[in-house]
Amino acid sequence: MSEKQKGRAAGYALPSVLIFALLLIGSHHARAEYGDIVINNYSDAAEMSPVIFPHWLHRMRYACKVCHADLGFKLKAGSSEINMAKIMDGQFCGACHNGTIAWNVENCSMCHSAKRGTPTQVHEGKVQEFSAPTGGENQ
Amino acid sequence: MKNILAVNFFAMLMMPTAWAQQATDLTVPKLAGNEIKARVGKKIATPDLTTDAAAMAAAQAHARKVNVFNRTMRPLASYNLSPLEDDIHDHSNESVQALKKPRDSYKNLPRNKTGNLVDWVAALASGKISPLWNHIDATAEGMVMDMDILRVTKGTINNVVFPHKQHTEWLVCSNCHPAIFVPQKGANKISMALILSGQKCGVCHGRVAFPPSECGKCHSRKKDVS
Repeated sequence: MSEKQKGRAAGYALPSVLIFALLLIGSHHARAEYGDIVINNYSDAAEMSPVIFPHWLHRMRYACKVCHADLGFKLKAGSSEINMAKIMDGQFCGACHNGTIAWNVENCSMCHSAKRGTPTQVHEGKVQEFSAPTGGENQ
Repeated sequence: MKNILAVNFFAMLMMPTAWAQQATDLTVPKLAGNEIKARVGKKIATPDLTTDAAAMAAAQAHARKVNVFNRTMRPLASYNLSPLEDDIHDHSNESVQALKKPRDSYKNLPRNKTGNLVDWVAALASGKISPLWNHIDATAEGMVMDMDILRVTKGTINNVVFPHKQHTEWLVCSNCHPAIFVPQKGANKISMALILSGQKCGVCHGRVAFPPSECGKCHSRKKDVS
């Protein structure tokens, strides 16, 4: 092993140990169903509970493409800039949650069901587990 | 950054039988209040701990937190929690009781080892679920493209076979092309570091589709090493 290689190995040693330690310490991990998405762009500020979107339930009934191509939901959690005006106008959630395809938006607390202060993120995702042991990927 | 993530991933892989241990190690032995204080010292000596019961609860909570050996491998009982048991729903909200429970819905679906513990592709193939292709026209059907892409890996791990068929049963071309994957041979640099940090395949795999910890599902083609 040359001096240069030794130096490089030593350089990797510290981060490796630190990451290993982080893995061992465990995290503040909010248990939820895999893929559950909390959207809290405006809710906390408007004194509403943040929204929980149960991905698993929707994927049993609709192909991914229905929401992520036809209805314009972006793939990154919280980036679609959904608000109640758009939903009542028939966009995003409102395309189905209009009282004809699915129950309508008068049932506020069916969606606005998260604990206050829950950050916008995909829950149980690998990104949080591996790289953000103190919270969500968006924190 | 790449190196850090790679090391991280392998650290995860190298931890053997972690969750069998995790399941049994979560409780701490019962100790007298003063013994606990002696053991954990000043760390838990907050003003709240006026009684032995509070000290015990704090010590147990502390032990639970620090003794999670591998947080990427959890006991099965912590999967598929109902909205009434999980950590994100506001349990004082009465509507939460009306929400559907994953375990009820998953009863007859093929099982998987991680994620939702459901093999969604098998569920679709066997007709156990029949997700609609259009939210207005229930008879609409997608165009399934059956074309496998072989990606040759570094090292000795199996090559990756990407099946367009299973993906186009859920998605359309524009979901992935060209924003995530350039539709051209050799134009996409993909690594486990990128995937684990939520890019490329990791946009879905690790968030909603089966997680990247199921190596063999993608790394499925044996290499000729003779």
